Amino acid sequence: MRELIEGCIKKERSSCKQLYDKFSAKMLTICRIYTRNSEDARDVFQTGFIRIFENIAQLKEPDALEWWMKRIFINESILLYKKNARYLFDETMISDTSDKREVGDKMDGEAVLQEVQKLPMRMRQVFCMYVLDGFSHKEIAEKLGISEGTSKSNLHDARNVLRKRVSNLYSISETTLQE
Amino acid sequence: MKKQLTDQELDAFLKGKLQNLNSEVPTSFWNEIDAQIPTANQAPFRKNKLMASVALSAVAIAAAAAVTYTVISLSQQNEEVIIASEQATAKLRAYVADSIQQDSLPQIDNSLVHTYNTINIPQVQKLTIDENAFAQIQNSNNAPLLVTEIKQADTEPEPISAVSKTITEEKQENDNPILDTSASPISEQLSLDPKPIVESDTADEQLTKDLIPQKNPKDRKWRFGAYFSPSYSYRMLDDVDKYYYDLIESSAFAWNASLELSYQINSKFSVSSAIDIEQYSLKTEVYAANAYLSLNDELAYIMGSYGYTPCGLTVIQNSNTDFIQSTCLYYLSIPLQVQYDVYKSFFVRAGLNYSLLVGTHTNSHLGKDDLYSNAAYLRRNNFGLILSAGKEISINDKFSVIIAPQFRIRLQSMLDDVDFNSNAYMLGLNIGLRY
Repeated sequence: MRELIEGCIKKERSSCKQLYDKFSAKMLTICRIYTRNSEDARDVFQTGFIRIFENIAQLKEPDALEWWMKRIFINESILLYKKNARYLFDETMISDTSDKREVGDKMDGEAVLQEVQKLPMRMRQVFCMYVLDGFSHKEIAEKLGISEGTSKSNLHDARNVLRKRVSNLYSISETTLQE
Repeated sequence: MKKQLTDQELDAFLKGKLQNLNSEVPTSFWNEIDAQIPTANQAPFRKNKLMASVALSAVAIAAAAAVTYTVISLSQQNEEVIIASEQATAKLRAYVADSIQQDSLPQIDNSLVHTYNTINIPQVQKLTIDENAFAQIQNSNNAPLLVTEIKQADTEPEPISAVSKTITEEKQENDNPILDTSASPISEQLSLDPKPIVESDTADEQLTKDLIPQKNPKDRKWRFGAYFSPSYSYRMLDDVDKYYYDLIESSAFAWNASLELSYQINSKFSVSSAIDIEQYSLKTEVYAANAYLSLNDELAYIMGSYGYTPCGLTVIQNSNTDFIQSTCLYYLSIPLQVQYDVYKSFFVRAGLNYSLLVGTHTNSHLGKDDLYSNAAYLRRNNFGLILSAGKEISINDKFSVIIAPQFRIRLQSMLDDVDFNSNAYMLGLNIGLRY
């Protein structure tokens, strides 16, 4: 990993491509989770990788690479919507039009992602930052420019919506949860 | 039977599903990224930014030149008046000297009265002549001739004709021939004032100093200066991130040094520009022993992983260890300032400066380990405001010392591409030598 990073610092194309191949799928998922649509996800994905290649010389510990990259993509996605704040206000919650699946269907990540993407932007950001990436409410409030109370309220709403959708879609047993 | 999921169960379930999700990445994505990755030999900052910096510097210099030219043009008239006054003053002195030699009442024409009243002797009440001056009268009409008693009287200054009359009347009362070299010494002959003002060499020197315009460094139109200012630097943050950063950041010693060229417009105003090197510093300290910082995960974003420290991104692995970082940013600045002399040697200054980031230096330590960190997200070009007030102390006719507290602040955020504003400022004491 250290050699790969050193290659990227030297702007060797092969190293950059290797790093990209290694993490691109995972990072695109993060972009998809945090953005409103596939176009925005693509923008954040590309900007994030360019940012990483420009600044990778600052990374001292190779073991922290993935975490560091993830933070950059999250920050870039937050920044995107801060620059385009109108997205945060004109979006209404997408109605639940998902096809109901039969009980016992295997639940996959794509289906969960789709449900998360249906949340309004602010609610989705708060949910993802808190649940997936371990931000506190105070930190979320600071990063998104909202109050802590709003953050908590958004998280509560997001959980209720997702709980309802997930419960409607699937019959979740304790066995499923343990998977 | 359906089970109502708790928050923790729901979170764990969704997190598990999403974290294991891998998206399919279209191949075109890489091509677009590849085209934008900087090459290895690319300059630290982009060429277009460098060109913009050069262009901005040229504009700043051109603006300074234009302002200076305008000011010079406007001050031409004043300059002519000064020259005329000096010439007329010499003529006046010669005329009075001649009159004294001829023991006659000086006939002062209106133009001389006007000239005499416009030179810097506003409250003339009496005229007398000291012996040195009189000796010079005999030899030359160009040397300083008159010593005046200057009183800060409330009354309007007497016209020069009245002054001249006083001289003559007193001479007649004493009934001494003016230029009788065979009589008593000249100094005694010229006791025109019953109580001579000049009673000692020291007083004589002082009076001469008061009357005759002394050479002063400020008399020069163009002046050079060299300055150094030790300062404390910090930054102003917007409300969003101020809370975090105030907990861990503190001001640090900074400095700026400059070489200045100034132009004296008139007795009150001058303009100046300079080449200025600024060092801006900041210290970040996150102590694991600090209970608040250790117990509150709000700061994890900064101390536990990475954050927008003054110098950009810093990766920290272990949040339970003290983290100390000192940051130095070096700017090349071109200020354009206007100085107003308020009273005597006290002045106030204000101006704008353009700054270009030319270098960075950071020292980062995590516990006993050194950390590598570097600048990121720093704005290369910035404009700032400079305010100062102080005193100029003349050492001799060429040099003077400047002592002036000054305040500098960036008008734009020092960081680029981040979602909060961070305006650097410095508070220091500017000490300099002007020639």
